Amino acid sequence: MTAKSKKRRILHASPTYYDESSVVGGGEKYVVYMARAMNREIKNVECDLLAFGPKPGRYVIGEGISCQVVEGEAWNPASLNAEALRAVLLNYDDVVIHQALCGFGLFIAAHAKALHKRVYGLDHGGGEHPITRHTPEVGRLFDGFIAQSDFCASSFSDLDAPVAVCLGPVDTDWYTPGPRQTRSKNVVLAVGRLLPHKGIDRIIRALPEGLTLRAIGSRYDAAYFAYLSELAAGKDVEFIEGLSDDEVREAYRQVGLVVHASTHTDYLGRHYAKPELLGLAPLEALACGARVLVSSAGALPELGAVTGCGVFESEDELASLLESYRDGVMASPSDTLIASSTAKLYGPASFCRSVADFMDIQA
Amino acid sequence: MKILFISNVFPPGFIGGYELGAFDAACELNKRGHEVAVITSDYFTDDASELVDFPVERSLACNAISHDFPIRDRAAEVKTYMDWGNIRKIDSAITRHQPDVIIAFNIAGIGSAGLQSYLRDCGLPVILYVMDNFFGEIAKDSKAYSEFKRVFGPLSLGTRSRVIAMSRNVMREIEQYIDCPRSSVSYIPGWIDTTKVPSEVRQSAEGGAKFVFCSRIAPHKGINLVLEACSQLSKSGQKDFQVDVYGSGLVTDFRQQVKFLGLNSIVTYKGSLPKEKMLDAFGNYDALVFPTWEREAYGFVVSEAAAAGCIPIMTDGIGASEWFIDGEDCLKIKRSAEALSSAMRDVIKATPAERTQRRNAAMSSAKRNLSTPRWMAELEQQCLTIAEEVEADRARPRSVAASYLGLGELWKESF
Repeated sequence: MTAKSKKRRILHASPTYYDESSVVGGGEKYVVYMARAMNREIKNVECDLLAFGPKPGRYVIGEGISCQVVEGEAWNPASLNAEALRAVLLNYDDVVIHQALCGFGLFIAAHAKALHKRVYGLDHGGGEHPITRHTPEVGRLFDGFIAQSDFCASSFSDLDAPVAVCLGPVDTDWYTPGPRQTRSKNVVLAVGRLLPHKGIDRIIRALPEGLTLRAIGSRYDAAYFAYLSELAAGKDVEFIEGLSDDEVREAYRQVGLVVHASTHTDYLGRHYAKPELLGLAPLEALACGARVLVSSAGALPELGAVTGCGVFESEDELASLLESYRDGVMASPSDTLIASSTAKLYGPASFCRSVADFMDIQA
Repeated sequence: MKILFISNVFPPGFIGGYELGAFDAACELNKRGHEVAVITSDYFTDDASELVDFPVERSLACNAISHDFPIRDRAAEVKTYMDWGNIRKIDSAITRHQPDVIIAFNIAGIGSAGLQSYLRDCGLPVILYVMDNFFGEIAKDSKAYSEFKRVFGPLSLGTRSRVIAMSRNVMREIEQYIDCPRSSVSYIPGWIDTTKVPSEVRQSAEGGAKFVFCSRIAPHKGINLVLEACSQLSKSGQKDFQVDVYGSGLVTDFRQQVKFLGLNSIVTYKGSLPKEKMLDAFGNYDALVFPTWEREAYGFVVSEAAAAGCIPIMTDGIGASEWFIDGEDCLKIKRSAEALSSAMRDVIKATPAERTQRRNAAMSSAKRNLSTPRWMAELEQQCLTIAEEVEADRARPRSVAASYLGLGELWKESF
């Protein structure tokens, strides 16, 4: 095998991994999507995952992607061991660090760079170490940053490293419209962890009579859930937990409208700088051909470029749009058109073209 | 070749042989046609009178200088482990000078552990020139150091670093901190410019023996043992000997002790002489008394005195003792006043002819084995070899410095 044809070994490092034993969230899912997309779409790469947890070991996550778990507390750089980390990093050419700006990310990046690996960083909203705002020099740890949206690109403004916007990826091979069937016309779906910045309360307040809201997602905040329950009194709202990915996809395929109402200011007035850096759940819904309404928070308005995705600025506007939907006067492109538009802009192929170009990988 | 020297202190100011060794090596390699640059601290100022042949940048911060000068400032103590500011300045010097080889001399006090790790990772061939245990100020069982190892990884040479050491004695100490594969270590003793010492042994005077002590006037170098040995000899009725003392340090204490012990007629303080004058002066003495501490990495003064025909009486096991043979060209003693006085008595009781014979043996060994040209040629060869063996990666230093910025912050947060 010549040097040219040798596969680039790429390690995706993330504090946590997408599994019930770790965290089932968009950030974790994104890592799997990205690694899977790169393995499928770029012939010269081989991606593995690295995460941290109490039980070290090697796991296989979907389609043969190897995930090595090294002992340590996710998110706590004070629990990580340099020697163990370096032993893993040595086996790779490139290191892609998810949650690159927090202490965890800097720890990985610093060792990867000291070992002269090509280092790329992504932000999934996991916070920033203060030093990232103190000196642009931290940017030198990275050969570049990959931003999954224009909004996300702004995360790296303080750092001295190139940034590429690579939209997506959403797994449009798995999230697809279902067999031809009628979508329910009086149900609205909201998918995401029940956290204040996800703005489920905004949907409940805007929900008109005659519509049912199904909120799918795990409870992570008891006070917020109590607030939602109180708000839902007298309205047709269902909270559903514990669905599998298959069941969520089926819900996307059946529902007439999905709403994603994330917000920079939650029900208690708290501010969130980065409530959405991509919007994976609405993208999955769009990939299944569902119509979607997204708020104007974070990167969500960028999804408005996808056919079938509308953007609302306020709760009043959301209420008005929901009434239009209930009354059957909302424009309704075909599932196929919505799905193909999603794949074109956010699918693995377009994402990987951008990534391969940025990382200088022969696609 | 372009060679960058790193040293915590660089002459004209100096503490001991380590800095002078760095100075000699820089001058010699420069004379041999290499492009030498030095980065050091501003611990001593440069009067600009001494160094004109190569650039010396005095921008580093030296946070500690000596084991007998305790650090009382917590921030400074942390910086003796890792000093990002110094890494940044060295990184800048590397970028500007683009050296083919870096030689790190004494890095104690300028963030030794962090700096060694940075040099390991910087992508360039590095020689750690070990004349003392520059990790000695690190408290091995401290929280700061255990966290250092967790965050930065254990100290290691990596693939681009080699070690030149003065002795196995000092390597035993260094290896308590860093694993050095045997194949990465070579030895160069304390060299001596044989053109600056007397060409022949001067005849020993009839009657009394003349001894010399020349080192820092401090307990760890053995000055107290010298006085105690003199006192023992004097009390036993041995009066026909003289000890001249050269050096700086705790001179007041020393002089008070001389008076207290009634040794004024035997022990004389002669101040500090410039190096060239001292090399000549050694020729006036029968023997050097050097009951220094056992961990002495080498002891340049042994080479210098021996080359001038002055028999070294030294603590057995110190670095220099590895290069001399007891009873032939030196006397090796247990570190005690009794052992020293016994060795001194042997010299005193020897006839002038016997003394001259031993002095000839010391001079002959030193000139044969320890000459500057021989060992500077070896150092030059080591530089050429590592530059050839190690593939330099010049893209690395700047980003590696950024790595140490990030890790340094995480390390400080952890304790």
